[in-house]
Amino acid sequence: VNFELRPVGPPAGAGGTVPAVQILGEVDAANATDVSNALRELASPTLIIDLSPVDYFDSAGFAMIDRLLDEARVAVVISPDSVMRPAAELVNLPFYDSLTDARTSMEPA
Amino acid sequence: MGSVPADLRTAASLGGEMGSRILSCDWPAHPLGDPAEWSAAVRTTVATALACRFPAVLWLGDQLRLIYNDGYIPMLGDKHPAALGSAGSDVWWDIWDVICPLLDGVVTTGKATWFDDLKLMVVNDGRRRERYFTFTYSPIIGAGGAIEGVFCVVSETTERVLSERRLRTLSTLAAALMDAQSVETALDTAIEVCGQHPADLPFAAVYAGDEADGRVRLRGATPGATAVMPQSLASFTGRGSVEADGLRLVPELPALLPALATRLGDDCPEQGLVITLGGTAGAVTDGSSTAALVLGLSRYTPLDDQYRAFCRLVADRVSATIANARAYQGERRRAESLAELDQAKTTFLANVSHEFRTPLTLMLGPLDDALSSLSGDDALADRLRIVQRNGRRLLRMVNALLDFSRIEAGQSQPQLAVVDLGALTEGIASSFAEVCRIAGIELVLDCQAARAEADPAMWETIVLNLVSNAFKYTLTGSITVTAGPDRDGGATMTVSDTGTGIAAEQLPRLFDRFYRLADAGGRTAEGSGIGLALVRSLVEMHQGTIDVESTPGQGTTVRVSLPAAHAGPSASVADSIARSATGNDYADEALGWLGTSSRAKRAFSSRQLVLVADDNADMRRHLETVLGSRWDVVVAGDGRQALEMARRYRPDLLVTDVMMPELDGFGLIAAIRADADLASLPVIMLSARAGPEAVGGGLAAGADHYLVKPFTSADLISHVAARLAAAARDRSRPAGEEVSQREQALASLTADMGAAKSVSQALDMLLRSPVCSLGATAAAVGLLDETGSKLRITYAGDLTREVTDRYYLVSLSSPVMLAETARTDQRMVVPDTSALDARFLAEAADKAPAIRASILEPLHADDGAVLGAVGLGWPGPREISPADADLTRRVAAILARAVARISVAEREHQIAMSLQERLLGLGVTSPAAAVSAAYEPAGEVMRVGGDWYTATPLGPARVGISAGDVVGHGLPAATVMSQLRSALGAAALATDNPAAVLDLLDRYAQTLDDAAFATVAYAIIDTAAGTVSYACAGHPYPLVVGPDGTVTWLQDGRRPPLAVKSFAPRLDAPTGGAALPPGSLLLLYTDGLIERRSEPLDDGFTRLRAAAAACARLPAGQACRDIISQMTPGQGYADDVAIIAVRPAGTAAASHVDAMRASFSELRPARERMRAWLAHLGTSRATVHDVLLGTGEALSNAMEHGSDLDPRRTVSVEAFAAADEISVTVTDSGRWLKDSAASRASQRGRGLKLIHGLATHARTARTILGTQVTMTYRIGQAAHKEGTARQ
Repeated sequence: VNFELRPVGPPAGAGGTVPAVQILGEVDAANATDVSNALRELASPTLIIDLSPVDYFDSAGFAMIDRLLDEARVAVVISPDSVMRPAAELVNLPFYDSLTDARTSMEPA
Repeated sequence: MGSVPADLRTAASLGGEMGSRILSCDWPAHPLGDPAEWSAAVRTTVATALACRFPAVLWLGDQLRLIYNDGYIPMLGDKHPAALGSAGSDVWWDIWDVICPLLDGVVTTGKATWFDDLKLMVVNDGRRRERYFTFTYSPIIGAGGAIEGVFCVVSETTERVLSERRLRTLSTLAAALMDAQSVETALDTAIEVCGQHPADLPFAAVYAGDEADGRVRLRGATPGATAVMPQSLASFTGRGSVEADGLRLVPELPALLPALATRLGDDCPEQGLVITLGGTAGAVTDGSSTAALVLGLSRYTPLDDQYRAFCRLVADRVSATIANARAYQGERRRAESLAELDQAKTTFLANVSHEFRTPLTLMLGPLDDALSSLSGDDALADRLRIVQRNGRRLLRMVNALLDFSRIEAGQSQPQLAVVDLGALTEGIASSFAEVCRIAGIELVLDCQAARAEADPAMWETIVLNLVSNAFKYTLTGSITVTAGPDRDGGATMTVSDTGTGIAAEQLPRLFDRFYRLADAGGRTAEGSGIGLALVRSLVEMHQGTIDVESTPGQGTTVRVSLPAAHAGPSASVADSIARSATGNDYADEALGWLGTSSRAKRAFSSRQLVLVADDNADMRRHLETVLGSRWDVVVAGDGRQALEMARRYRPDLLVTDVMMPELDGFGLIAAIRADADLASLPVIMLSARAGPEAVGGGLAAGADHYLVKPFTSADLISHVAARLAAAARDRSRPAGEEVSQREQALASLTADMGAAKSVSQALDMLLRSPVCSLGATAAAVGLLDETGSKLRITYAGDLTREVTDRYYLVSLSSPVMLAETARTDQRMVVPDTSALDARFLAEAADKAPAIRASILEPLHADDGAVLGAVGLGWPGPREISPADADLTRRVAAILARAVARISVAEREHQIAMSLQERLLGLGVTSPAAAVSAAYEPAGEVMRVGGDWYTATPLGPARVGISAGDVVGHGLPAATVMSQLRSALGAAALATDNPAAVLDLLDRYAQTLDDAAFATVAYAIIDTAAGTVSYACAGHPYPLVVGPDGTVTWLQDGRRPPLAVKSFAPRLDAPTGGAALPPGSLLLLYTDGLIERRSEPLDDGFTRLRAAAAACARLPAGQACRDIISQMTPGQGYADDVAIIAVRPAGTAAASHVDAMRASFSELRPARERMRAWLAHLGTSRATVHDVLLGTGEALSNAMEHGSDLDPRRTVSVEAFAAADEISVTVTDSGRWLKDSAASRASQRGRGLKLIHGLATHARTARTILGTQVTMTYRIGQAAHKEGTARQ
């Protein structure tokens, strides 16, 4: 297991109830299923997944996120300075630039 | 009886037969008396002899009576047992004269004596035998000091002595025969040598076929036998019997040849052997047809196996020499007849040239007269000038041929004189000033005074040829001629141009006679190919040298150097120049090459326009004159110019030559047929090449008519008129024009496809015909694979690699349009892909924007079965009319026929290749290195060969590789090859010393029938130590390419080829060793790669060195393919070629090599290793990520698709860093069998997108041995990409 899920609290002042989690480390064909299972437990039924800090995230990871998007109300965040942003754009993964944007869209005021 | 004392009794009881005999002897009645009364010394000695296993004998008493042991019995032969106790002179009567004095000596002096290999002619069984003995005689000294007898220990050495003597004879014979180059000498020498060794060969005679009538007669015999031997072999063959080994034994020779007996006396042999000569197997049965050797056999030596083998070896040696001599004589005859042929050719050329010159001169003289009497603008004068110019050209060529043949025949000698070569050269070259000015080329003359010895007339030929040649190939820029003294006191001239240049591989043949540069892009394709050969011969006659340097696209420099001048007569330079200025045919001819400055005259004319394309100015003028009487004519000097003019003037008809610079006639027609506006232009092709093939080629290329030169003016006019009339008829039916154009295009497509060699080529042909493809920009053919459940798709036209990779193999049931078409056997018409059924939207999205409209047709075999489907695509939505659909149906039918034909050929190819693949697949590979291999069968023939390679994993950090070559081709060679290959694999596992591995292999090879002379190189790569150890059995040197491109040959560890019994086995054969640092590449290959007929092997090594050096930074697989393709001789490989390349796993400054088992758990460690390397390079974080992600995706694909996640297989990564880019190649060893598109919804579909999308460019190479994906990341560009993405 070479990944870590780190819960991210709502920023001060935001009254959000949607849980958010950052993925750190590496996701590849060898551990994508583990990551997927861990995320699925957290998505009850909504979840914001911040992929910005990952060091490595391959097509197995993208496929896993794709299935989660089908199964649950999930939003993905990839910040503009994340190394994986070009890859995410290439495979047409829908994402938000920031946690705030994601929350705004998932928790309409 | 009872008087034998106890000591003797004990010894005798142990003494075998002789012991018993001594015990039972009636001694008291014997002259030696009662043993009890024998002296103690005698008794002790007898006891010693009886107990001894060596032959021993005692000579006792005055009579030297014998007492001996069991070992001595064989010495006596039939003299035993009577010899016991008998007097020496009675027992050894036959040799008594020799041994009696020796024994007496011992008895009288008491001194022991001994002899080595003493020859004694012993009589046994009534026959005298030549025998040899080594023995000692020692005195038996009694208690009183008296000599009481002689004791002798003896051993017989006959066998060894004879064997050594015969070996000496054989080696003398071999040495003497070594130089025999004719059958005569061989036989004479053999007889002479036999005559010198009468002990074993009392006489010898040779019977051989007579040159004249083929009858076998006595050819010669040893001195004593010459006169008495029968002339015919029949005297011998009629007697005796043929033994099992084919030798005929002839008995009773003295009776057969009484004269021989008289001559040789007592030594006359009693029997002889008749042995066939000359390799004819079997026995001598009659005397009429077989050469034979008759050998007399010594009467003193038994004909045992050893003697028989000796005789056979003598005959074998003579036979081999005869065979060699015959081969040598054959070679010499061939060489002589070739020389004669060459001489005949030269004579023929000289005669023909000479015969041509007279009539030409007789034509040119009156012509000059006629011209001088006509006014300049007379039309007749114009025509006559054409005749004059070409007559002169012909004369010049004939003169050159004549000069050349004279030189070849040695008939021409230079009239040397000391000249100022500078002034002479300048004067000659300046005759080109005018033509260069007209052509807009600068002629630079830089000539300084230089004394040299030259024949001014020959020098003129040299200079004019070189300058004229430079002019021919220089379209713009300058020609520079320099002359001046050089440092050695001689003179040097150079002719440099800024012309098209000459490719390096053509340079060596440049001066060969009749050699013409291929596709040189000069002003004209005219030429005899004699000019430069003549120049070289002339320069050589001046003791000078000539060399050429050339860079394609930049120019050529020819340098002629003459040696220092001796004192000699001076020639007036002025004379020579005056002469050359009078009539420089070379410059005149060059003037004719100049372009036509395209006489554009499409004024308003009611006449139809004919475009003429020909590179010969006179031919252009002639055609213009002939056609100009009825039509307007525009002319072009080459194909490219003609194409431009066709587009500008829209002529009604094109008349074109075949051979033209820039673009030839075929290229021109292809370009016209591909141009929608010109496609219907009627074309008449003119060529000097006759014959149905040339005509067929012209018509297949799209010409409407083909005229063979020479043709009459009337012929040409009538064909042009007929074609124009036909075109006019077509035009008068406007509705029909399009139809006729389609019919024509379909017919032409049918013809093209008949020649297509691959599906991909057929598709290209389809796209090149805009009429047939309806202007489609992309096309694809999907063919059912062996299982009938998948389509294997071939693409052409504008589609990205990513698309063609993704839709490479699709299941018939998948939602892909081609699959749907093939599955339902229904045409699909898709005017706009965005309006497609939802099932196909994914495919439509992948293929947009290249494909927005499509027509798909099923492909049927002749019997109606579905073969697959073809699709055409356009980049924008498109209305598709019923007429379009009708056309595509017909195109599909044409394509189906071509595809069916190609499939049959490919299936055969596939069978041959899959056999080879089965034999040569690398299979289980190693995690210690990136290993790739390639195999190229000989020539175009698909057949299995005897070359192999192997890779054997030897633990995590070591791998053993081999390349080997079995003599021969075909199934037998392949069988031995696979046996050796398996044995090598097993031996590699048994020991880790390469020399020991080859020892084992050699021992195994000895047991095979056809493994002799197989060669092999075996190497063990140790990536932990960074070394390679190796051994080579008669195999060409392996080589190491360092990271910087230095090439090191591995020349140690040499040993003979396998299973060669005549070479002494060397169990201590050495192992070689060398460094193999990370980033370097080890190559093993078979000799087919470097060998070319009629070329020294060193040239092959030199070429390989250059080809290998270029591979320093290429992945192993690419290196194998590049080397094989770069080393390919012009006519293809004559022998099959195998090559295996290994790059050890490891990281260096500019490279990173990794290999791993095909398991996803390997991905992360591999990524960490690569990340460390990238970090060391100092690459940006974003680039590191992109490279790692692309590589990771390629590795996942390679593991899953290429290796089926089989952990016994491995995949490898080879990465190279340069200043501005990083390239990564991922290699697997399998064939992708799964549907590459069906898993699109899962991660693999995205994988290809990431591979192609993140890299600057990516490409995929599939071979029978596996798939390679190479991704290149430009470092600057990647940084830019991330910059834009992050703003």
